[in-house]
Amino acid sequence: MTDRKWTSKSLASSFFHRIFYATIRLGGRWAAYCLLVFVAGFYALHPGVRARTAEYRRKVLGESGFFRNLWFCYRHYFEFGKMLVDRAVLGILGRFDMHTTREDKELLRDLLAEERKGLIIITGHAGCWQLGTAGLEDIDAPKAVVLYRDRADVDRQYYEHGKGRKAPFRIIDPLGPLGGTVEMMEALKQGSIICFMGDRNFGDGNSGVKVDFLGGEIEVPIGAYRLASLMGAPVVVAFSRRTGPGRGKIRISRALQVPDGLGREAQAYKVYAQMFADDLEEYARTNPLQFYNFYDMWEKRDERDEHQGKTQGSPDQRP
Amino acid sequence: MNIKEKLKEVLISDLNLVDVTPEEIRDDEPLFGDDGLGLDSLDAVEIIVIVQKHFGVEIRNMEEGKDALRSLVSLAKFIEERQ
Repeated sequence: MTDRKWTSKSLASSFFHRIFYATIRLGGRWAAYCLLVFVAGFYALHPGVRARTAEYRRKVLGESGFFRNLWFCYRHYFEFGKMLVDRAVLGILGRFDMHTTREDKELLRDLLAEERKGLIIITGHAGCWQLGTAGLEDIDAPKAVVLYRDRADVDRQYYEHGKGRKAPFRIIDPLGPLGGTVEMMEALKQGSIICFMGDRNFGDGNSGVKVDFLGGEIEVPIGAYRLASLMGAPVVVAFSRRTGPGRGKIRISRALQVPDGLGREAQAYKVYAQMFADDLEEYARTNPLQFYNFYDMWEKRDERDEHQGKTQGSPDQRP
Repeated sequence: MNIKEKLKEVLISDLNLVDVTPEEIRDDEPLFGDDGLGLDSLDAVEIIVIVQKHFGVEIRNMEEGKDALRSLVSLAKFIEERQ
């Protein structure tokens, strides 16, 4: 059983996603953005949907008035929607320009060549993370993404538009056999780059630690750091940022080496998880509208259990 | 010492299972999950490293791993077949 607080399930139904896909086919990116103006407005005005990010707004805005809060919420959901539109445009029309600096590419190539143990990239649900691998296309290494999909999720990844298209990277399901860890190990042995999301925990057993984030405590997974310790793989923390219509940037915030022999205790990896959280906090403070964890990350387990008891049957969804 | 006994010892020492003795590990109990030894998914990677280090046997992929890592007896059988 999982005590996960979030789901990857879309808030909108398949029908509404198809309306957006059709709009992109008929009118292009800007037509979809225009439609989004109203959709983002609807979600921002919806008290239940707005409540999902209330704690995040409190953390980044402080105590603020109703209208300032509402305006931020609207722009936040609109930004998220634009990222989803850009993702669909890439899938349908094949257009997205993801920029990575030459220095960052050289660092990735050096780490891959020096260590020959693959490379782990840890990122967060921020910017245009779902398009992030597009910025790694000219790094000559196999790529894998640890990707959880809710069975009920109707939203398509960009490579799922069009019949017969395959993902340009290997997908490792963290809820697969043995949590996908043997596949991850195999991929690292083959010199692959593996991308992990470092900000959401699946909530099983010894898999997370508490770290400080935006003035509170959240739980983040330690799996990537433990895998790095076991396999000797270098780790890079990187975030993407959407910089405009159909454009984005990836920036490496730090590279780190997790020593071997740290063992099974989650606390042994806390220092690395905190480094990630510090970088994510800096990102969220600099790009507050591009941080996309649509649930209360700071909610304590006992409070959550109580809340879930009251709201049984209404799954946490994201806009 | 047979493979099963040696496996129990190295799992306890290398995984640092402080509250477990070799006698408490049943041959057929699942290695992972609450019904068995209670190891987590990343312990699977650690076990693969342990098996290679102590027995010189490599578990190369998930196909091999999912059968071999079911229980102590299946892991011992896998090692025996490849040594």
